[in-house]
Amino acid sequence: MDNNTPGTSSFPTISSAGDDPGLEMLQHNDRQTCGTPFLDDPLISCREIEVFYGEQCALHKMSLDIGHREVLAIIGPSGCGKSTFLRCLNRMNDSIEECTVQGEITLDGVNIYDKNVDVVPLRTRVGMVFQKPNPFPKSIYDNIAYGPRIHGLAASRSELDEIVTSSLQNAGLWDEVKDRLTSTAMALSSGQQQRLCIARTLAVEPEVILMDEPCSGLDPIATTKVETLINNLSECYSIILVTHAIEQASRVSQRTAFFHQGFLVEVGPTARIFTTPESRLTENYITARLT
Amino acid sequence: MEREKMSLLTPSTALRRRYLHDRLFLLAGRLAAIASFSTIGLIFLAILYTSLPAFTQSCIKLPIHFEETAFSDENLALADYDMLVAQALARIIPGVTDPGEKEDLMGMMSPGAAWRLQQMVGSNPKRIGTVEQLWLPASADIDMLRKGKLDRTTPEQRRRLSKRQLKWYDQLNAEGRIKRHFNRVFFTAPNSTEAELAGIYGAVKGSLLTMFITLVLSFPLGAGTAIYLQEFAPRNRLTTTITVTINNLAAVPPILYGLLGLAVFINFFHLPRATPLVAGMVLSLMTFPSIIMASRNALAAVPRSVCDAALALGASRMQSITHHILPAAMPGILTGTLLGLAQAFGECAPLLMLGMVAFVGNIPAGITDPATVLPMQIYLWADNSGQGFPEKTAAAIVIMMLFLVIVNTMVLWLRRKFENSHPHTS
Amino acid sequence: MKNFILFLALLVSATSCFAQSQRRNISIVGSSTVYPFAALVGEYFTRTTGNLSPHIESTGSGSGFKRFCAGSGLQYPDITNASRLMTSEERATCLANGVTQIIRMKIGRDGIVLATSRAMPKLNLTLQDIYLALAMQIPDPEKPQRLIANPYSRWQQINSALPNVAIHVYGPPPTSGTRDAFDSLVMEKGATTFPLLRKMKKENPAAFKQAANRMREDGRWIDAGENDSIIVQKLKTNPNACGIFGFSFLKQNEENLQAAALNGYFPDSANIADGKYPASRSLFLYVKKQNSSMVSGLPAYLKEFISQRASGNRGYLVRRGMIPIPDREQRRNSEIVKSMQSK
Ligand SMILES: Nc1ncnc2c1ncn2[C@@H]1O[C@H](COP(=O)(O)OP(=O)(O)O)[C@@H](O)[C@H]1O
Ligand SMILES: [Mg+2]
Repeated sequence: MDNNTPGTSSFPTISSAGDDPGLEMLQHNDRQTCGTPFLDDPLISCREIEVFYGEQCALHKMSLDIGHREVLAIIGPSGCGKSTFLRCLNRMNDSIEECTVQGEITLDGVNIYDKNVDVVPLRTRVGMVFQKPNPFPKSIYDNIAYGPRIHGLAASRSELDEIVTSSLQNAGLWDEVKDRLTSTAMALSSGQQQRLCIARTLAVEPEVILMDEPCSGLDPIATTKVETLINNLSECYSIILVTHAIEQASRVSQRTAFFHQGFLVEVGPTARIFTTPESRLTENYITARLT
Repeated sequence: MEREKMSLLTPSTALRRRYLHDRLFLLAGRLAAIASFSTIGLIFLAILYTSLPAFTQSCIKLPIHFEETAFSDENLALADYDMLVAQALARIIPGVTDPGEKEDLMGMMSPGAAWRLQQMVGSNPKRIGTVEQLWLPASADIDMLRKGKLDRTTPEQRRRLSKRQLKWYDQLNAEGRIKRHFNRVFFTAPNSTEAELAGIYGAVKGSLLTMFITLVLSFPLGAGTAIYLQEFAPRNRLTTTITVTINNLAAVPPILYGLLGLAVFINFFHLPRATPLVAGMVLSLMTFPSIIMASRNALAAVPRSVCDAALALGASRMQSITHHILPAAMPGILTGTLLGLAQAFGECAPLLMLGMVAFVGNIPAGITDPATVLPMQIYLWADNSGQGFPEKTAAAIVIMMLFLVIVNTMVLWLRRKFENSHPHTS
Repeated sequence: MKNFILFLALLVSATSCFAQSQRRNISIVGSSTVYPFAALVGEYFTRTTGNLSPHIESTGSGSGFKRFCAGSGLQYPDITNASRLMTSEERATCLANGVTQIIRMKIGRDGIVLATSRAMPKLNLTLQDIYLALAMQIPDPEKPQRLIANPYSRWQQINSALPNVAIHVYGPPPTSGTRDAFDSLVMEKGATTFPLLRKMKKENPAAFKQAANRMREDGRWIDAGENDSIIVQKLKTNPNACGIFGFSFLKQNEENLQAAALNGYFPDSANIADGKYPASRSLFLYVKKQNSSMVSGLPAYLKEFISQRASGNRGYLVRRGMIPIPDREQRRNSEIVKSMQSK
């Protein structure tokens, strides 16, 4: 899509192929994102960020705030840049060689892309759960204990035990695994593995948890469990949840952002987005999904 | 046009033809498998069969009198042990006076008989003055006769044993003084010019010392280079060139490494010739590229998701590699290393240049003692036209194969372990 | 990669500490004919003195001299075995490389045999027969004033008394001492039976050598490698072929092989010792005296070599096929060794 190359002065035309009926002929007339991307007291604020993979622009200039203890859902069709955005927030993009991030992202007022920023503390404060459960091929206990161990969070074995127990409890997995902490994590079901990964993230006590489609591989029951978990966690953590299921977004999030082909099209309170979206693009996406 | 319904019970001609093709293909495959397996099996069985006589040694029971008069010299090594053997022989076969006849009689025993006695007295001088009935090694000719490898009916002038010797042999045999014993010497002795005294242990130890040096040099270097290139090095023209060079190095004929070793290690650095040290250094140059390639593949095969998980928890790049990627890649790296070592273990060509085709009559004590290696020993014995050496050669091949089987079993085991520990690869 | 090379260099220089100023084992190279004798002596030497076994490589006399004369440090051999004398060029190389104190010891005699499998009728050859069978070019039987390419393919064509068998001879390559000796003792003698070549030898020695020593290249002469036992094995499998190798190998394989008589003499101990058998020669050890203080056991090894139990008339070397030298020469050897030990 050569329209998307950076440097074109006019805002590019968004024209999708025929399998997305109703989206063609739509035009974004200005760079302004619909809705309210800015908050009064943000925890993270992104300003004019732009992400490239080599020459290809994956995320066009966009700004967005994330508040304290809120669940922000990010929805949008595949390939629209949701994961890319998420990875910007804990600099996981660093390990992709050709990826460049421009603009400013601040956490508590500090630009995380500043030269002097160390990614290790950043990632301890901004944890991440991946789409596919990825436990370490070790015991359940060691999976949870890994983070605290490398950061030296526990002074003694009993403290470590405590962290492991509370993380598993918070992740709602404790009752299922408390008798087999030393057996390998690879033997758990994928729903359990995903909650283990969440527990592992909780163990390093982050402030923000990034979740990239955490339920996409799970069955409905496991999905419900994870959703309940997110609901509970939102009391203490800011959570950014990427999801394909809009119902899920409506169930767990306070705010929702809609991405489309690298643009942040609309952001606002979840209830409003799902009832009265401002942008035709959002509306089409939601109705196509719901019907 | 109406299409005829296919019967579920009687297959159509077209279907039948298809099945025929399937069956023919299956048959051809089976035949090929049987042919290759039976050829390999036959060769192996033939070698095994040839090697069997080498594992036993005919011995003759002699009444040895360790008379004090024979040990007049301070140095026990200077005593005439051959004379002790000759006296014992004269005791059981009396009446031999003619010098030629005496020589024939002595020719029934291996020179190793005297050396055995020397060893025994050396380890326990209290033996002097005693009398013992001892089983001492017979000569290679007697040994071959005992094993049925020597034809008694060949005319005397071109037979290896004289008429007298055959007569004595029958006499000793009737007295129960000749017996085949398990050939312990073969597993504990170094090389010898006498087949009945030649052992494999010197070469085995030489091989093990060489492999030790190879492992110590090429494993850390190879694995380290692989980790650097795979995980840290930027992808630019220089690293691509290095990668291509390494891949090409793996295809360089081994003899060139031998020439390099001769020029650099021996002629320039003056390291001692024909030692496990130099051999190991040269072989590690040879295995180094293949270890790098195998290690890089193993590292690349580790799912990145695990690495990402560690990074997202705040692990540093190094930690994510040492804690997660390396343990997961280790079986693959070790497999590559073992296969490289197995290749080096069987390698002859580069060592030819380092003076390892040589007679070494003792077991190397360290990495700077001259030594030979197992494949060299096989080569040397295969070259030896003396009595009993073809069997020794086959036996050495069997030992060599045993080592390779062990290494390959380890490789299989590591692979299995690798497969089990990583279910979420894909 | 740069790091790697640096590391390697460091490692190598670290290991150079192993480069010693003393060597615990004797290093021997040279003739493949002497090799089994040297190894056997090595075994007795090791067992009786407790020294490390010598390291013995079978390289052929020519390569042996080359390595021996390359220098006088510990990385060069202490002894080279030879089945011929050192040439003056080789001596010059030795001197140029600082190898100044060389001791030559004649340790025995050896015959070069032309052997066949026992399946073949016994051959009785003259040196001329052999020359005519093997040389690349021979005098034209019609016009003996010129050389022609060797036309013979069967022994009978050369001499009607010989069997009607195809000529097929396995022999040692030019680097080997056995080949040198065969060239000078058999081929050149055979060639000088022709007036043309006799004249050539006087007027143009280089051309003569070329004519007499150049073996045919049409597959009837086969260079069979440095190791004599390979030839022995070839003969066991090929009943019509002949092989050229040392007498000791014949002794080891008398069961299967027989030797041809040369000029009416069969190779046996007596004929070789007194030189009646034409293709007989002496075996030598060349010892680097300079190394005797740096290499433990060098004099002791030589002492074992010339001892009665080894080289004496009934010694173990003789039982292995070496032909002993007369007592007078044996006494000379013991004096040499004694002078070395006293130093
Ligand atoms: N590692 C990468 N290298 C190059 N392009 C990438 C990479 N990751 C993602 N992209 C591209 O960036 C765009 C956004 O991808 P992504 O953020 O993964 O989308 P989403 O998560 O919304 O499905 C896609 O066009 C994709 O092809
Ligand atoms: Mg995604």
